[in-house]
Amino acid sequence: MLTGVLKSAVPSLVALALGLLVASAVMLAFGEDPVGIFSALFRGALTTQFGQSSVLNYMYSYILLALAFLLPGKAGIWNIGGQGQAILGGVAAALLVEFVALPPVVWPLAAIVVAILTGAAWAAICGLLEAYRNASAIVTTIMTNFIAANLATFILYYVLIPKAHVPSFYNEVDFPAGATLLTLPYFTTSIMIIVAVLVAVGTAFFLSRTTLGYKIRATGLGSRPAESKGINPRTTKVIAMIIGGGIAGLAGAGAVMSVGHGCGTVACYQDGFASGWFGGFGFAGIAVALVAVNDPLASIFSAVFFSILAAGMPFAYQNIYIVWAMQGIIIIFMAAPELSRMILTQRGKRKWT
Amino acid sequence: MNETMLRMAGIRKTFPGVVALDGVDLTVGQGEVMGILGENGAGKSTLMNILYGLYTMDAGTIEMQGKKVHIRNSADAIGLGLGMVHQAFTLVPNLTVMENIILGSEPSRAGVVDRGRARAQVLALVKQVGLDIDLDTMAEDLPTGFKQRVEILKALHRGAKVLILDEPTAVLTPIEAEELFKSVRRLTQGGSTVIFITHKLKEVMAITNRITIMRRGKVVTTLDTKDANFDVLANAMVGRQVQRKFNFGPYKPGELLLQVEGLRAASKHKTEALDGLSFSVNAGEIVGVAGVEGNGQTELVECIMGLMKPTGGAIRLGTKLINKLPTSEVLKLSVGHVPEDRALNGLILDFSVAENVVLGATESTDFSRRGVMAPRKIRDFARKIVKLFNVSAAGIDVKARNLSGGNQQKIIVGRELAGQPHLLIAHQPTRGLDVASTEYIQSLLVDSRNAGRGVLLVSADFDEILDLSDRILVLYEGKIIGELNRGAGIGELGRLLGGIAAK
Ligand SMILES: Nc1ncnc2c1ncn2[C@@H]1O[C@H](COP(=O)(O)OP(=O)(O)OP(=O)(O)O)[C@@H](O)[C@H]1O
Ligand SMILES: [Mg+2]
Repeated sequence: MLTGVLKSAVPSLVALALGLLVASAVMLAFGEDPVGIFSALFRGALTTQFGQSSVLNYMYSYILLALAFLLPGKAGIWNIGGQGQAILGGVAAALLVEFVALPPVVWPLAAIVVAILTGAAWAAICGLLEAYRNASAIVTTIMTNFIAANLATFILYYVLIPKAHVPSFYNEVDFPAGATLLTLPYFTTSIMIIVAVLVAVGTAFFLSRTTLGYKIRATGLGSRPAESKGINPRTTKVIAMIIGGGIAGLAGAGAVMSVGHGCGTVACYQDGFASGWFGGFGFAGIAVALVAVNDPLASIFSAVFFSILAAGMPFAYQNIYIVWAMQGIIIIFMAAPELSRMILTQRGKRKWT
Repeated sequence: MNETMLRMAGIRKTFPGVVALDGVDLTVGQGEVMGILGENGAGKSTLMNILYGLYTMDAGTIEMQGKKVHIRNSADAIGLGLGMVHQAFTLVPNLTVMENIILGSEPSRAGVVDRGRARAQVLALVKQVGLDIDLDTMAEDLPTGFKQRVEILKALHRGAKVLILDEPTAVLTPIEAEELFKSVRRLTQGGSTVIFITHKLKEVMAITNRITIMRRGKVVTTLDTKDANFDVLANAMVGRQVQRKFNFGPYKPGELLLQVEGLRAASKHKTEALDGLSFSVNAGEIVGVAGVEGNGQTELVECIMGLMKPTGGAIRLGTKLINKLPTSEVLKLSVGHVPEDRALNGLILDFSVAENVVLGATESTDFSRRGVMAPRKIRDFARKIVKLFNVSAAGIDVKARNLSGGNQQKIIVGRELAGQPHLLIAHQPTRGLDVASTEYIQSLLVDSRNAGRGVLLVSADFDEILDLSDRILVLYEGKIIGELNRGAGIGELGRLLGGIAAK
């Protein structure tokens, strides 16, 4: 398995090199100094405590959202909705904490369970629509992302903030300490990074070694032969969506229940839902999965890279737009090959008599 | 032999773990039909794919009309006057016959397709080779035999002088095959050269001028068809005697296994596919369903397997009504199913052999415990099937896609028979198999029957039906128009199949 992962890393590394090269060329063309920008970025992300913590904070969300995309993908269903599933998972966790007080350890656990269930239920809608109503999940998950974002904003401003009774300029609402996830020593981040790595390992095992994982892969690679041997492709797709949504929900719970997001050493949830924190997480997760050629374990490594790019951004602030442009270029180079392969195989599967 | 049209010499090709071709020489004369025979995995398709530019050879030379040629891709091959019709068709389903034929070689004026000229060209071509077809039908609505005609016409329209047909008759009914032979003859009279791959010795004898026999990547021999006979060919192919004699025990039909009553079903095109069909299969018998393809065979099998919902009538397994059961439940009632189209329905081509042998059986305690699969047991089982069925593959971890067609079929049949199902629905079980494997799989069906299990054999191969069946049901336009017993001759069957019911 390890050599497989290493092999799958080769194309990504080539793409990374190309991406860095083209990005540098663009920067030069705009009169910027690529070496300066890159070294500031990497130095900031890797050598400062703030940078390192930030890398870890990005990383768990990226890993989980990559899994939320690639697991349903193995069943041949495109979950572009990790974003919305994560947001609603986070909202659900916050609602539980805000309205139901529980004893310490049980409290965060209950919030996480609620978040997972919410993400799963939200994803199930799109799964059912594709399986039984032929509405492509690519489309419905994107649409439901908007619904989720607006729903979250509404709940934040009309339910959560009024309930918390701490109106302030930034609308900061601190998360109760008893429901906050454990913090790692030294870094300003929670144990979510460990959870995410475990979930990635678990997903790899699930897909390759369990009967349900087998059915998911069978459905994705050949729904007709699978069906003729009694595997129902519709149910399998819905189940894969539900699991993917659950993982996204977990990412959302992590984001609101961990230190290190926006409010520094305390957990808080306000700007998360209103697009700030979650902004492009779902989509970055897709890119992470694509670079990892949809391999759960390789996603861990590809998430490291994406997290460094994201966490290093504030350190290379000479020209924020050029940094964004650079990120975009690198992502395109790294994700495009797998994306085009996936699209092509999907089309290839159509019946060409 | 006439003047040499094509010469391939010392062709070598390896895939990871297999030597597919090991120094193959092939010479084909102008205007002749060259038959290529060989067991499954012998390398026939690989050799043709090299000629057509789909694979690059590791070593060897190709000459056409005495000149050395370099074929790097199929565009080169087409340019040299080569045309190929694959085992699997490549038509665009939602284009018309005409559009499919001219696709890639459209006559145009100022960059715009000149439809009038195209039509005239195609009509002339159709007339010349006698492959009659309606040019305005959508490709997806064509029966199999006609799809193949379109493929042939397409190759000819691109100027093919050498036509490669890879197992063209595997998907054809005997009547369609007869039509194909007529056109092949007409083509060679017109100066074309044809390379014809098949497993059916009768066909080789009927249509070819010379025969090259391959085994395990090498040419065993090349001989004139007039010097050949069934035994010589079979021996050369598999290196031993092949006898098509089966040990039928006494015919003792037992308990009722499958009962179909007044079954009705609609086809994809919403027309009546099954029109009140009734029959039964008992333990200890092979019931053959004979008929030209497209007369309801597919729908019948799909209804029984729960892959399609009947619109009327009843299907019972034993006494249990299964009309509305999902496939997974039907399979649990000890029913095995060899589907008609292996690549489409039987195997997951991107799964390994080991993964494919447990398709649909992962929940069995033989292969998993509490939802976690037992790779070692699965691998042992896969090795067992590979060994038992003589599958030639580079191992059980290769993808099914990389097996030759016949070896794919062996994997499916092995998987389905391994569970010793009470009832086996075998739909074209030996399609694409070489003589030895055909004989082996047919003998397994006979063994099942002798052991008191039931077999429903649906096949378009008359010989197979006549050799194996205890009772033969003749299917025509969704109805059973006659029933024959063992010992019936091909003449009787042929008359019934013509639609002239023996009333
Ligand atoms: N793309 C591939 N990758 C790996 N092995 C391959 C590939 N294509 C063919 N082979 C192997 O090469 C050998 C020859 O295969 P080929 O398809 O040419 O056989 P064939 O004579 O056409 O058999 P059949 O009668 O079953 O169609 C087989 O052992 C097959 O497994
Ligand atoms: Mg072949």
